Amino acid sequence: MERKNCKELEYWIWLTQIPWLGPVTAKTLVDVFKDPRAIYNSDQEQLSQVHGLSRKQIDSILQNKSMERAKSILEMCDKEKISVLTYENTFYPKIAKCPHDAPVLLYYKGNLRELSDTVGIVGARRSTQRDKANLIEIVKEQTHKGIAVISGMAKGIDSYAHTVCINEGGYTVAVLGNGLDICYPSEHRQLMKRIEETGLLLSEYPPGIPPSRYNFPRRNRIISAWSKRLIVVASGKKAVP
Amino acid sequence: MATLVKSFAIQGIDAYIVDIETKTMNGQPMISIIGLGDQAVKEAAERIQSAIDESGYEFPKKKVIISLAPSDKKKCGSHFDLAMAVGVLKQEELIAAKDLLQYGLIGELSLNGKLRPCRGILPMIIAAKKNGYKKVIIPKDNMSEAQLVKGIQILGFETLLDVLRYLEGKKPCETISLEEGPEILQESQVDFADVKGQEELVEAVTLAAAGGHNMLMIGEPGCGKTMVAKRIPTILPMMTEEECLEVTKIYSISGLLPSGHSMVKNRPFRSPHHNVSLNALIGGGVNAMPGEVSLAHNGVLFLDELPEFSRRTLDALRQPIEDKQVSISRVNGMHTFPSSFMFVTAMNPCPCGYYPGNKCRCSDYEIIKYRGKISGPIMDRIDIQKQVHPVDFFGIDNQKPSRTSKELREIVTSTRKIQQERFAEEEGINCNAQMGTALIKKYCQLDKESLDYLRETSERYGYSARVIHKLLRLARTSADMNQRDNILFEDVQKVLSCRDLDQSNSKMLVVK
Repeated sequence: MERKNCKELEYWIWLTQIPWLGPVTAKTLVDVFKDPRAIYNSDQEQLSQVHGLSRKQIDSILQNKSMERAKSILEMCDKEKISVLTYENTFYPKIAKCPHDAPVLLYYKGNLRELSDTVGIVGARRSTQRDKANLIEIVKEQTHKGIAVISGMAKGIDSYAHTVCINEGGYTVAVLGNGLDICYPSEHRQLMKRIEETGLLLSEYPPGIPPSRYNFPRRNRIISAWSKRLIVVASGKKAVP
Repeated sequence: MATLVKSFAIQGIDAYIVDIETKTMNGQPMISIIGLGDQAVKEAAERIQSAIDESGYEFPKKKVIISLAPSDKKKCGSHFDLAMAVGVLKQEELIAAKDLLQYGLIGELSLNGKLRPCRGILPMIIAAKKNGYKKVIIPKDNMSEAQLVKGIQILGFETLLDVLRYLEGKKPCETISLEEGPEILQESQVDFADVKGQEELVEAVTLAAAGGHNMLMIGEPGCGKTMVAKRIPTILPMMTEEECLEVTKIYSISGLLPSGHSMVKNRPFRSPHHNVSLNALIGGGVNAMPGEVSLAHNGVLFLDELPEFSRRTLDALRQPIEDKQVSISRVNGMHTFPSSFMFVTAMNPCPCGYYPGNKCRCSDYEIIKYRGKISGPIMDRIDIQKQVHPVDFFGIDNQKPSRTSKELREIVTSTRKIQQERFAEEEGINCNAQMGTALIKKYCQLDKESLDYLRETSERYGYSARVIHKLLRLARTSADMNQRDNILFEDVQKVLSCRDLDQSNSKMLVVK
């Protein structure tokens, strides 16, 4: 990575690591200041002029000026061969920017490419053989049309969607609810490797973040944002949309 | 001069002669037993004193040294008591025994001077005979076990006093030759006639038993895997005299021979629980004892719920299965136990147990992970993988009588006989399962039709050369079962249905 670029990324990561500051506010700040470095260098007066920024958030930005965390994340990314996709990057799909809470920063691993047509496939972790058979048909059809399959690499339906897509030679994107250095669930190690080789692994979370029950609903919003259409297979009543 | 008396000690499944020397000297009264004895040997001092006292003699008020030679081998057990007591009395000239050296003495003493039965009698008597002893004195309770050895006089006594009277020539032995004890051959409680609606499985089991093939049964809970496994010993051929003796020896050392019984005639069936420790399975302990693999010698070792066994424990089975014996090295020497068993195992097809039924909700990756718990080398040693289907209890087919163990045993016995004739000249090979590559080439020729069929199936499921060898061995057994010289198409068809796990694995939806 280029030195200047690297410095730039540090500020992007810093922005995502500030407490009390979510993707919505981060995006507002980027819109106003154009550049995370400008946000870093801003003072209280400038910040208080930004519309929709609370007292607590302003204090938080001013108090958390340490770059330690950002630097260590970037180091870990280098070690694990994880790259960073910022909101400004041209590869960040337009369609994915639509939701108001689209993340300003994504970590990825694998082959990033322009996505023309995408379908999101999510579903139950525990499914019957019949649901599985139906799913295989759907994924095959989509893959043969050249549509990229986006899913969450969870157990069950998600893993089948990725597997069929890879076996049929398609391009698949897996959006994880944990850092990209962790394989969860662990039985998908082989699958994860293959996705990295032929498709794309994506996560909002920096390396080192373990999977947790709060991450997965947030992960799902990225899947739905990136997909043009979404197919839900054999889902239960309680499933998170 | 010290008095010499002979006794025996156990090493592995064999015994060796122990010289017990006793010396009394003037000095502070004490007993010292030397020669690397364990706690039971050390405690013999108290038992001897009490037993001698109860028998009406006075224990010498002197310094008594008892040495068990060879002194560099560790010895354990309480069966040296009798020899030591006789040694002490003789040394003090309290008894007028003559020719002590022609006897071997075995027996534990009670405080009342009675003789108690002890473990490992059979190998000790065998060792006595081998070393040219004519007479062995043992506890009466061990008589039936000891009498398995012919050509040696066995004298059974109840008390120390009786032994002493006999040695002095004052009283003859009353129980020189007892009629043979009841053999452990209960009419087996189980029979294959109880198994209903599993014809295909029973066929596979018979095939396994006939060719000495190891077997894996895969099926959902409650479909009858364990039931079938328990019945396998009933269809294996009867044990020969030699095999019976081997098994009895192992059980004798382990102390598992019920007293009053002599020879074990039924093939053993061992099914250790899945949290069995490595040492319990293979054999171990400070003074190595036979483990489950040896207790299953000449019989069946059945491991239920195979993936639940720890990987370390399972992998330790490789050598016993391959070499038919286990060697356990300890500081005090190497112990070798035989372990030639038929390896039968059972497992569920997936973590929940119901794949491919409607109840199953396991993902394919989970199933592959679950099945991967069994390491390749162990899977490699299993020839037959048979899916067990749940039985329709009310089905009409299942009401008709199925084949009995007796019928099946006849098939197995005749098939084994063919194999024994075939491999008469081959060293160390008794059954089809042990055939090497050269022998497979020699005895497992297929006609063109069968070969094409085999090739087609192998390509479909991606069978390796090793699996194909397994299939050829099985086909040979199948042909033998039908008393045929050539392997026919139907044999190949039959054995190809014996790789259910491979076929099920190849259908799993995973990345290639």
